[in-house]
Amino acid sequence: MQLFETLLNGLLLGGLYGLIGLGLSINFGTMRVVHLAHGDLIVLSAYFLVAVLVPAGIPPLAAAALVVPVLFGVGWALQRFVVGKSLGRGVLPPLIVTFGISMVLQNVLLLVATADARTLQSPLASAGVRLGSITVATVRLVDFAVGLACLGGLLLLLGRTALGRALRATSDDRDTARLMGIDPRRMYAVAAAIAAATGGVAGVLFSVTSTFYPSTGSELLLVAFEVVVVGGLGSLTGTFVGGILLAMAQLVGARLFGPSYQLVTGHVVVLLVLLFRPQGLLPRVAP
Amino acid sequence: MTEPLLRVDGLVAYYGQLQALRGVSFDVGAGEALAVIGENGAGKTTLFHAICGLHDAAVGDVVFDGEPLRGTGAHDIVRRGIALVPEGRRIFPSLTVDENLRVAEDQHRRSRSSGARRWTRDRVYELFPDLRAAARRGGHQISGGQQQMLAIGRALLSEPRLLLFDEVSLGLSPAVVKLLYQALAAIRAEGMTLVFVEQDVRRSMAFSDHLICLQKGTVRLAGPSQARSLDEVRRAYFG
Amino acid sequence: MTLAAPPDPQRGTRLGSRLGGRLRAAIMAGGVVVLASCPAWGGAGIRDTLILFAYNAALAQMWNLLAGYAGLVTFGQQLFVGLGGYTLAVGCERLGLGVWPSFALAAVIAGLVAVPVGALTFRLKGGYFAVGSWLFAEIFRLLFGTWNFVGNASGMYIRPARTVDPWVSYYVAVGLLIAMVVLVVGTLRSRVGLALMAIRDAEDAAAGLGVNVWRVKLLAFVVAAAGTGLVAALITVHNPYIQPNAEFSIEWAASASFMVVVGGLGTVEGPLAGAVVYVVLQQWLGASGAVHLIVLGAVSVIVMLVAPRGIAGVLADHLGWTLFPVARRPPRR
Repeated sequence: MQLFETLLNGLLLGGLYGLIGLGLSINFGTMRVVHLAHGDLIVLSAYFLVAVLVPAGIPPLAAAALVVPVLFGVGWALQRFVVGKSLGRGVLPPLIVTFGISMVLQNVLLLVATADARTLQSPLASAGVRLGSITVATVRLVDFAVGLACLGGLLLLLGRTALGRALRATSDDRDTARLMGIDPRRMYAVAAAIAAATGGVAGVLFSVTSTFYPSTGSELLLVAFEVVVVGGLGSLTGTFVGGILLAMAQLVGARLFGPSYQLVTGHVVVLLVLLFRPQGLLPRVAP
Repeated sequence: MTEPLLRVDGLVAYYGQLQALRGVSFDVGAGEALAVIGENGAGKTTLFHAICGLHDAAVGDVVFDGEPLRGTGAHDIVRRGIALVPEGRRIFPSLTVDENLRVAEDQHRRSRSSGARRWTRDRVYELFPDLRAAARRGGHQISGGQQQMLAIGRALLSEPRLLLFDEVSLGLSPAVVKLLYQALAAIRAEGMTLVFVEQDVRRSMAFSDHLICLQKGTVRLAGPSQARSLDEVRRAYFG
Repeated sequence: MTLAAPPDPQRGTRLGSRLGGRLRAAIMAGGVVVLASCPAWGGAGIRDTLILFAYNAALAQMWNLLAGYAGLVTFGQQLFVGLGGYTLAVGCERLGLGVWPSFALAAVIAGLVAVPVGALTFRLKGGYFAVGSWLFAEIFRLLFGTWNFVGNASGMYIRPARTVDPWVSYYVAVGLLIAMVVLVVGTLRSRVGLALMAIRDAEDAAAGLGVNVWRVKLLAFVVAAAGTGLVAALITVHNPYIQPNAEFSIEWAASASFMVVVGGLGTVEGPLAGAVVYVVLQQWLGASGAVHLIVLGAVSVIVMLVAPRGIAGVLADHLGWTLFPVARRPPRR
């Protein structure tokens, strides 16, 4: 039963991990860019919520809702004015540019918000729900529900709307998309904005359960990376499931070996995936 | 004398160090069909890409319906009324057949909204009944002939006045090719201007009003298709 | 009539530079003389700045070898910095090996670890390779931070290193940099160098031509790791206190990539020029801290967007000036 409780918590935590990985996956899927500042955008949204909106007296739910469009705008602007200009010349320029953005973001946060630990004080953080003989943290349920809802929303957007079709076409074949009348730069800006917005949601959820510092961005980038490696590059659903698998592995490791082994277990799983199944654990959905 | 719908004027284009077009000029009148003949590497695809804006010409210009296209982005050129059926068809693999069509249709909803659409998905399915049956299948799961039909349908849904067609029959069976040319004839009957590449020299001469022969990036032969003999064209083709 | 052997692809080509061969030789000789004679004209301050320049330039050369010549962009170079530094620390302080043997051992350990790390991370492509190598560095940071033998997160002092004369460090640092430059230039002008540049420019085409892409990349990766480990050991000799968070910090990769991008990727002079800029910035803004890193990040972005070829690249493109030409031009007719 204990194992079941661990796995269930892993499933739920996986909603947050999956959400963290989705942004990286969207950027890569559309533009082949590994966005090294993605983790920092998540932390930025957490700081925005905890250090700006909440102290300003805005009620938490409204504040959380406000973070998402702001991050959408930040992601759009970064793509349009900075990252977008580094595309088309190989692997190095976007890496250097997103890495530079990461460094600037982290250190500006350090200067402005100091290195103090932050978290969102909320009664939600310690509440629990009893399901039969096991207890599940309420925040975990929220993480999963929100993560799943975001995945669902994204799949609907991509699968059923004109914008979604245009995004998929652009990521399939940029030049032929141009022949359809699509402006790839606009598509990339929208994709980056959506990715940043998912980061905004992740940041809000993250701030409730964890303490964070300006440097947490790098840790979150590595989480996103591990999620994508485990889940494979095939699809958004694959990434989300990758998050669940990683979270489960981590929590099982923590249960078996102790809480300080949580991260290490995750790393070991990732190494094993790289060794034995580098394309990821899930089959590719699209060709 | 009416202005030509398309005027290509001294186009020069490079691929890195390699000069692919060395000053290509020709006119196409509205409603005409121009065949572009030439062996592989002669510059035909580069020419089409330069007209569509997918490739930047170093020198020269393209004037469409009196408006110069230099500096216009490819996606804007489409909105002006030029569509390309690309070599290799370039179907979007992660979209279904129907979605491939919708991508083109979606973009056109927002431009030149005056008047009803001439081409709709329904009309495309009427023109190519094979596609209707395959509408839900993945773009990569259909045959070469169906892909070609899909590529044509996509181009039509951009509501072009000029249709560029790179390699009509390459790699396709005679039955499919016959179907394609029937469809092209129907499209032409509605007044479409057509510039096309066809490996079968005889067929390209038969289907076109004028022809040009490209060799190593220059126009070697140009003129009405009826006035040239097959021999003349073959000589120009092989240089 | 017998067929002649296939022509040597390098025969008849010239190494191109508008600076004449004698001028370049004079510049290089002059540089070496100035550096070698430093005790005569410079004090401790200049010496320490030059040491800083030398080992930063060396780190940048190694990062450039990977990113600029092998097409391997990595944000995990700090793994080998940590390994090199800790090998020196453990060798001196715990195993009693002596400073210079530990120094040599650092290259060996770093090179050895590079083999499995490279083999695993090569399964990732492009940006994922960059982050994957970062992940490995993080794993080692965690491991060393919880390892009693090396002092956990608080680190260790390396007492034997404190007896080393700073001028000895200086000559080793300068000598190491010169050796690296010679090694890099020599390699790039050889067949291996041609293979490397072919891989960088068009990996699939290179594979099609029979280049064993995987082996050449792994070789470059191991060499860069060993070089980095060696430099790190030297840095630790000069600052004999080591700590996992600093030694495995992403800032090493940040500074290396900055130097190479600003100085000029894929050139031999680039990392040198970038190191000069870096050292100047350090003196001006302070060794570490938020402002320093903001400037590094912002300048990297701006240079990458506005002048992606960097200082050396711009000089080569506009003036034809190259100090160490490695690119070949077709023979004069």
